[in-house]
Amino acid sequence: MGMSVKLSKSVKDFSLDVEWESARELVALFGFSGSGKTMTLMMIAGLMRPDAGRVGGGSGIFFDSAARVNLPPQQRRLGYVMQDAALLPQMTVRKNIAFGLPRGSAAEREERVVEMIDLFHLSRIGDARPGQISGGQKQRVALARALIGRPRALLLDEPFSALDWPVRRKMQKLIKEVQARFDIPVVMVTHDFREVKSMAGRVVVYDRGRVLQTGAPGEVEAEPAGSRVRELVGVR
Amino acid sequence: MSGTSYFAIRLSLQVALTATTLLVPVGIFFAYILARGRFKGKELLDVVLTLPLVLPPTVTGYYLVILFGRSGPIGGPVYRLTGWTIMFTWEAAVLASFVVALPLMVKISRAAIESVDRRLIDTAYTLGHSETSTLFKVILPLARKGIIAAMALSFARALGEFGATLMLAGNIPGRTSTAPLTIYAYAAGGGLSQANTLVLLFTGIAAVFLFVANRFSRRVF
Repeated sequence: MGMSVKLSKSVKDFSLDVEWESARELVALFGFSGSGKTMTLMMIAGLMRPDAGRVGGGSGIFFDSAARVNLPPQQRRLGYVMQDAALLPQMTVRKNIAFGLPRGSAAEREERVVEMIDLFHLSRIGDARPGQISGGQKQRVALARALIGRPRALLLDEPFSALDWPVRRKMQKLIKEVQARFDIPVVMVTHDFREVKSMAGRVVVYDRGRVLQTGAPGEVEAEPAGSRVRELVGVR
Repeated sequence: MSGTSYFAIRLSLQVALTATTLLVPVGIFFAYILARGRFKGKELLDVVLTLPLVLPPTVTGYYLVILFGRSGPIGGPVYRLTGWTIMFTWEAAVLASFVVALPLMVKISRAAIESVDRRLIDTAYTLGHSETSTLFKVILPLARKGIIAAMALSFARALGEFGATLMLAGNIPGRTSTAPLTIYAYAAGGGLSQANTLVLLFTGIAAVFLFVANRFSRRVF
């Protein structure tokens, strides 16, 4: 099962009102900054409370205003990777990854940390601190930390925006591999349509707190639903 | 140094150390709920906790006498139950120092807690860490420097407490005569050479603690 999202929220001079669904694939939330993409991600993760709506992902319902369901972020089991990795500066890479697994025996945690370190090729920097490693390495550590607890879905907030192009390419490939290997829905926020085309099975086009169009990236590019979508997709 | 001066310095250090030990958990608790919590009466709590910073210590001391005196709403029941009153004991000096230094501990710790990157806290929650676990593994380690600065300044403030201590603990030689009270007594009674020694010693100790506070936080004072 994929993601099912229906949200509305008003804050000061911005209102969000969106509805979309995806299969167990990589869905890109695409739009300019300030269109409500990150807000959507935070509400999926339970870090911000919607006024109304319903959020489900994997096999769980996280939020349902009608049924008064609102799981805290701790119980949603979603991997969330922020724009700048958000690693804990006082911990080594190894400890940062282990931080993603708050429960379990020491032996089990150690085993899973080793597994993630191998998977993300981090063995050389296991004892380094976040201040000593590159941007691409940081994002790999953040991914390993987000996935070690075997989340129901992975949420990525512009994970490559701080990276150079060659590194970015590698990371895009890595995310696709991760999605295939863990076989979970991935929701990725981006403002780069090239990234959407190279990575996403589905795209949700955001504009000023509304969804303008959803579909496969190729379809959206070939048949944009209106001039605004054409503008958003064509600009980059 | 005379026996009286020695006693005064020792008592002051003992009072300040005890007060600081109590200030750390209590101050961090209030700092945390003021920084992160959302509840009714938060502004009021903030004002009440800050008041001792701006009130004359004698006013703070007066309130404490009213509350903790033998017929006060807290001191009364304690006296009836145990026959003990905090008035004119060294514990009274601890209480006075605690209350007067609490605003410093809370304000500086709160600023340190608020300076922790919100995204690190949010990430910890999504990874399954409870609020308590996040407090101990993310917030306190990252706010460490500010909290150490808060401790050093609170200790220095507790050490120098005079007005509220005088109201609550009195100035009983050999019992509640802390260094600031003893200096006052020396100065008032013409014992200038003893006062000089105590004043210099006291200034040195306070300076060391300010130095520590500055080492750990460039933004405080």
